[in-house]
Amino acid sequence: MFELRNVTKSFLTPRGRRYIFQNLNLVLPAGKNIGLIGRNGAGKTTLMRLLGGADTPDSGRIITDKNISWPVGLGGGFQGSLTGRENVKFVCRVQGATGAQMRAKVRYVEAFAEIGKWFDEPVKSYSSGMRSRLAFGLSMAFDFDYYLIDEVLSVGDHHIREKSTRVFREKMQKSNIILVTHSMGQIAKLCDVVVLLKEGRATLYNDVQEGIKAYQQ
Amino acid sequence: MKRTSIQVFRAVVYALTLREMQGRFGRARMGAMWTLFEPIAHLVALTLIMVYIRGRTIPGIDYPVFLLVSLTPFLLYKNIALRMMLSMEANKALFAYKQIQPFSSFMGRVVVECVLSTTVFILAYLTLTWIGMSTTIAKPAEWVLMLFLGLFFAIGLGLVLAAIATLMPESKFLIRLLFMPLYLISGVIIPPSSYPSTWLPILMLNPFMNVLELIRSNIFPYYRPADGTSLSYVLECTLVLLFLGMAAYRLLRYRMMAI
Repeated sequence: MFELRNVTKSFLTPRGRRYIFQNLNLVLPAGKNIGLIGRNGAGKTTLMRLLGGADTPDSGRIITDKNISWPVGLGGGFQGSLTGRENVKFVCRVQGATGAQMRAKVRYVEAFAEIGKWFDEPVKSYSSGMRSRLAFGLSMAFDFDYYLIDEVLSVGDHHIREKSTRVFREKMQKSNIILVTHSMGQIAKLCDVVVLLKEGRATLYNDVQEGIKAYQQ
Repeated sequence: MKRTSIQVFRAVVYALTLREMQGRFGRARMGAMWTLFEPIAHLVALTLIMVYIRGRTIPGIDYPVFLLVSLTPFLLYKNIALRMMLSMEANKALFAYKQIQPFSSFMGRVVVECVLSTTVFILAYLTLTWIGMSTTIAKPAEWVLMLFLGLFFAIGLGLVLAAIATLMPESKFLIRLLFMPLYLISGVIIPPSSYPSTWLPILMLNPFMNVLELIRSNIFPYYRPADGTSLSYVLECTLVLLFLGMAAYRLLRYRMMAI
């Protein structure tokens, strides 16, 4: 079960209050991989943050009994002066993985990210691609019912995209993903349904192609 | 295997503390040295100025010891209050993890400051003892209790400042400025008896002044705290600040995490 009930979310800007959603009601179908699509500024990242508990609505509720990951975005949450390894250990501690579990996860992320010796260099010296691989690998190291992936795959080269898709396929046997991306190819390959965000409204399309067409109009 | 709230909180504070220590002691060549040496350099410089240049002495007490036991807690409390206020902005990206809330980052900063402050104090204390100054603590148990009281006061103040900074981000600059003269009117560098006596009633309204007097009276056996030093005043201030601070936190915690 994963749903939004009467969710209103706005931001205060110098020019006044901008509403992203007003009284939004949305039921995410269980057991499906969901693609979040919409134009820039439609509220995809905001919705993802709400779903992941990284942000709270002005009013309304987000109800779930599932284990949701944090929104995995383009390298946020890393402390630049710390190394990749130290940052990974930080997240492990926060998520409750200690001792042998932590060591296993650190090895997993190191193997996934494929950044070699840079793993022990400060994150601020990484390229955006390295940061994304690290962020993505980090989220894959933990078991969640839903993985929230925000555009992280967009910066990968071909090899990384193949690897990510493969890891996804493994995870998707037990979990689902909610994916934000502008690549309709990825949506078509990975998602079962799409949610189109447009002008503060969210429409669920059980037919992915139909949703993509609606987005492209 | 679900963790309880307390387990999550403890894990998060531990993680944040380690992260901050790693950040401060970082890769910069002088990183570790600077973090510890800055307060020590502070102490040395002030001692030189006050004793040798301005010739200030306090009867029966070695001035460097006076300075150490006054400056260390004052700086600790000031740093806690200010860094709590500043931690929300510094840790903004971390609130993406739902286990991390502003209160965790507050407590992380408190732990870090306490550890650093204790380390510096011990080093300086041992040094002063070694060079022959009189560093006996008359009433150690009461002294520690007073330190903790000051700590809770600082935490309450930090919570209130964090709330103010959330409602009015521009105030952070002003608040930091205000801490500078606070230094001078809190009896940190000079005892209250050195101030003009007409100022005293007003100065004693300053909780920091009261805390420091109470701390000092538990260290130096014949120290007479200034008229108007009141333990109950400090307790009242602490309770009021903690109450206001916690209430404000409850109301504002989502705003504190906002982008």
